[in-house]
Amino acid sequence: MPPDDLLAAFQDALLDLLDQGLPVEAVRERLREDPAFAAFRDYAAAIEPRMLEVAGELVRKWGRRAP
Amino acid sequence: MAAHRPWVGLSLMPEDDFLRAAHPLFAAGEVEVLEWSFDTAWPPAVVPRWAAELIAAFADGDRLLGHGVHYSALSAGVESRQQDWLDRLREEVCRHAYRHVSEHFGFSGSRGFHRSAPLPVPLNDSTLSLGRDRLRRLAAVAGVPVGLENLAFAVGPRDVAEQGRFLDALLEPVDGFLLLDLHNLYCQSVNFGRTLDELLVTYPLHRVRELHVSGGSWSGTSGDERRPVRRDTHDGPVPAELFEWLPRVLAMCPNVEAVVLERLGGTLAAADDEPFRRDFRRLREVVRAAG
Repeated sequence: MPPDDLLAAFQDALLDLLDQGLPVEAVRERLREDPAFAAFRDYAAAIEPRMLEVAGELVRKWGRRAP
Repeated sequence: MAAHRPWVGLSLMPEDDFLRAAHPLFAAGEVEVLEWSFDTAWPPAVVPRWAAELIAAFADGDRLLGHGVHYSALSAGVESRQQDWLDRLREEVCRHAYRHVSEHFGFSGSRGFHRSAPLPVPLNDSTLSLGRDRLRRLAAVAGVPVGLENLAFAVGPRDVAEQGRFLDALLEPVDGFLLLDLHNLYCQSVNFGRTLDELLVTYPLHRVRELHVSGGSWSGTSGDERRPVRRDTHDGPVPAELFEWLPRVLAMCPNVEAVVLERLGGTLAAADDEPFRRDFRRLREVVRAAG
């Protein structure tokens, strides 16, 4: 998959998972373990749970799904 | 070196409470430069007449700064949406004479979300290539210097460590400027246990053309540490530490042209008006004293 498509899929997944209000550990596990996001595995592993929790708060407040 | 002492100004908000609080500053001629987040007011939004008159007046005086919110330069897979934004920017820069146009580091939308809060992006060859391409397009349309603002929010220490280097690499091909937001650095400082000075030197300070100063708030978290997270919400007074730090920042950033106080419209109760004006006047005093 072209690099931009990989990044697009990662950004989509991150916003979608955060918007669903899943537990922080479930979001981290999905980002770390899904083979589609292998290029971002190291980055995802270093995400701090407390920051991911606040990121979810932000996405649920400001996020608007595309029509 | 900047050709003049940095101008001190405000980020214009179209809400009535902002007008109430800021009017005495405008009336006294104390606001030296105005920043306008133009894309928040594109139709169907409506700009109040008083705000439109301020924008026109500052543009006429060559003291208007443009600040975009929704381009999302580091979003992947949304090229047509970004092109739509650039098409509207082309009209915007014909309508008003901006001294420069800035946007934000990070991504605030995806294929599935047309809008969201800005989040960081890891630095690698492909994200750098994407961001450089989007900045080239921005520069081609803007026709004035373009820049990026550093992001407050980080999901981990890697974001904090590499953002300055990432910004420099993004800005280099277009000789872009850095809009350094001091409260955003403050957020990263308290959230990740780094001093302000440690963070400052990781940024390309020769590129800083504008500074943002603001306040923010705290979010509670539920994990084992329960450490609150500082957020750049623009809804409170400026932390005293930032006023104390500002002279050192100005000394290290010789090309600063403007220092802008940000306060979100709709967050000012009548009792906040005087503290808001006090923050602005203190900012002017500190910048003037720094010379």
